[in-house]
Amino acid sequence: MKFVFAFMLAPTMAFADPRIDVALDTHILPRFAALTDATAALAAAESCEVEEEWNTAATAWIGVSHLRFGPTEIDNRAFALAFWPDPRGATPKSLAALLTDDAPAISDASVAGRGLYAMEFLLFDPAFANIEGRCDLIADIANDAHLTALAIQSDWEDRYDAVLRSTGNEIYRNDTEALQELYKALTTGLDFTSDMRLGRPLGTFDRPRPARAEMRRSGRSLDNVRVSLTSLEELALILAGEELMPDVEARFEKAIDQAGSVASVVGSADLSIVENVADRIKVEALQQRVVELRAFLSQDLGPELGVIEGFNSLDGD
Amino acid sequence: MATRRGFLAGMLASGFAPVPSWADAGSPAFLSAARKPDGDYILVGLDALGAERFRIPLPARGHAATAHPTRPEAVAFARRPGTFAMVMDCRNGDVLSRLDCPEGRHFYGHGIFDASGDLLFTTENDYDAGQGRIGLWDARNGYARIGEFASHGVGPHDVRLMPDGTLVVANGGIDTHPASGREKLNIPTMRPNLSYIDIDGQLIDHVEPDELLASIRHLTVRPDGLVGVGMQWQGELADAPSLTATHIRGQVLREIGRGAELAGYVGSIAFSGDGSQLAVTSPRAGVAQVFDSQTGSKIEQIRKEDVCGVAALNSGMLLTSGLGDVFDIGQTAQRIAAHDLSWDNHLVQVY
Repeated sequence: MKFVFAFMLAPTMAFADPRIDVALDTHILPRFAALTDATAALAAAESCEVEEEWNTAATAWIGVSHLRFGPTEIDNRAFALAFWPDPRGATPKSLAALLTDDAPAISDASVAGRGLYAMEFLLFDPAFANIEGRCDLIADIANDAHLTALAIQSDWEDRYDAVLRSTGNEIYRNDTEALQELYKALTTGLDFTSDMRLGRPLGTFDRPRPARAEMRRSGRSLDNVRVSLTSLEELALILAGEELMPDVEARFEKAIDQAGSVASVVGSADLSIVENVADRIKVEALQQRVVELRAFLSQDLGPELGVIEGFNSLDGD
Repeated sequence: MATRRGFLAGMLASGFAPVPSWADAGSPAFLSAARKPDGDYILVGLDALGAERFRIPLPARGHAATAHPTRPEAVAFARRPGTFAMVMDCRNGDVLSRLDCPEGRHFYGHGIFDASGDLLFTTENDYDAGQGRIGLWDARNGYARIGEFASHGVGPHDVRLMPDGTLVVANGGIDTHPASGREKLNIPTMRPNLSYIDIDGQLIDHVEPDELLASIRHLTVRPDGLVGVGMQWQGELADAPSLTATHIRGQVLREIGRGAELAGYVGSIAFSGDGSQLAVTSPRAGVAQVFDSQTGSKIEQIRKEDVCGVAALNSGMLLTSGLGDVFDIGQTAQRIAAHDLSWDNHLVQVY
C-alpha cells in the first residue's frame, strides 16, 4: 500500500514555507510528545489493570500512525510500537514464546511481540487472561514501548525537526520536498485507513472478515478510524492553502460524520457489524467517503504541491 | 490419455500443417500492457518503430506479459496478488487458456518459458507459509498445472531463463498476504536473494545483497550468462545503496550506480541488444540510466516523466512511459512514437 510520487521540478522558494513550521509545531511534535506521555503513564502503572492507560496510548499512536518517515523508520521503531496488520498471527505466537521465557529481553524480541498491539492481546484476549507471567510481561512491554516512543520523540526534537524545518540538506533539497513528504504522509494515512482499517474487516460482500479488524479485542476498530481521520484532517488543513481549506474541511467532516453514523449502530465498536447487510452498507459508505477524499486531495492538493501521481510512479511493482 | 483427437492435434502441431508463428500476429518486436483513456486495460504488440501491431482487451490491470518463443501466444498475468493469467492468441485475441493458481497460491506477475516453449514457469506465493514457489505449466497440453518447487526465498518477483536452461529468480524478500492486500509484512526481517535453480527445483547458487532492505525485483540476462539485477529500497531514501547490480554465477554481486538518484526504486531493467549496455528505469525519479555493462560506469542519464518499460532493440534499447511515449535510447532518447495509452511497468521483448 505504500505508494509514491513523481516529483516535478518545483520552483525553489525564496522564503521558508510557513506550513512546515505549523505542521511541526502544532501537529508532529505535540502528537509525538503526547505519545511519549501516554506510554510513560502506561509504563508507570503499578498494576497490570492498565486498560485505560493502554487506551490513551493507543489513541496517541493512531494519531501519529501516518507520520512514517524519519525518526519512526530507524531501528524498526514504528514496527516495535505497532505491528499490524498481522495476517499470519505472529503476535500471539511471539507472546507465547515470551511467556515461556523467564526474563525476556523485550527490546531483542521479534517486533510482533512488542508494542501496543501485542499488549492488546495480553489485556483483552481471553486466551491470555489467566496465563502465568502475564502481569510481568505487560509491564515489560509497556516499558519497552515507552522507550521506543521516547526515542522517536527525542530524535524528532534533536535532529529531524531541523532537517524538515531548515531544508536545503541531503534529505530535503528545498521546502517543496519537505511539503511533499508531509503530503505523502497524509495520503498514505488515508489509504491505510480505507484499505486496512476499513477494507480488511469489510472483505467482500460474500465474505466479510470481522476478525481482521484492527484492535477488535479492545473494541477500538471504529474509533481508530475516527481518530486517524481527525489527525489527518489537522495535517490536511495545514497543507491546504486558504482557497482549498473550506473544501478540504467539508470533505473530512463528511467522512467523520459518516463514522459517527456507523458509531450509532449497536455493536459497531469492533466493526463486527460488517456481517450484517443493513449495517455493512454504512461501513462501506464510510470507506467510500475516505476514497473520495483521497481522490480529491490527489487531484486538487497534490498538484498544488508539485506532486503528480503518474501511472507507473504511483503504483509500480 | 492419448485420444485420436489429441493424436491428430499433436500431428498438426508437429509440422504436418502450417504452424502459426509471430509473423501471423504482425511480427511484433515487443509486448506491453497498457491502460486506455477510458480506463480499460489492453495488451499491445509493438514493432521496432514503436507502432502498434495488435491490441487485445484484458479483464484487469496486467503486470508483465510473457511471449511464447515460437507460437504467437502471450501469457498476460494479473497484478499481484492476482490468481489468474490468460494465454492469448495474438493473431486474433482469442483466449487460448486460463491459468488459475492452485488454492493457497497467487501470482507475482512474471513468468518465463523454457527455450523450447514447452514449459512455462511462474513466480507464486504460498501465502499461508509465506514462502515463494515456482509453478510449472505444460504449454504443450493446454497449460495444465504440472507441478511446483521452492523459489528458495520469500516474495519471488521476476524469473528468467539462463543460457544453460536453468532459471534465475529474484526473491524480493517481502512477505505479503492477500488478506492484507499489498501491505508489506516483514520489512524488519526481510532477506532478499538472487537464486539460480535447476528446472527440477534444485538450488544451484544464491547470493544476497549487502543491504537486506534492497528488495531484488527485476532481472535481465545476457546470452553469456551475465545477469542484470534491479532492486527497490525499503528503507529511508537518504540511506539508499546501489540498486542496480550485475552478477555472474558463483561470484559476488557487483553494484552499479547510486540508488538515491533513482528515488530508491528501479522499475525495469534490460541489457542492450549487443549486451554492451545495461539500462534501468525509475518512474518515481522520472529517470532512465544507462551503464556500461563491463565497467559499470554511467554512460547516460535520461529524464522522462513516468518512464518504466525498457527492452533491447537491435543493438540498443527502447523505453516506454506512462504518458504513452516510446523512446529510442540509441537515437539520443528521441521520441519515436506517441500513443493515447499509459504503458504499464514492463516492455517485453518477443523472441
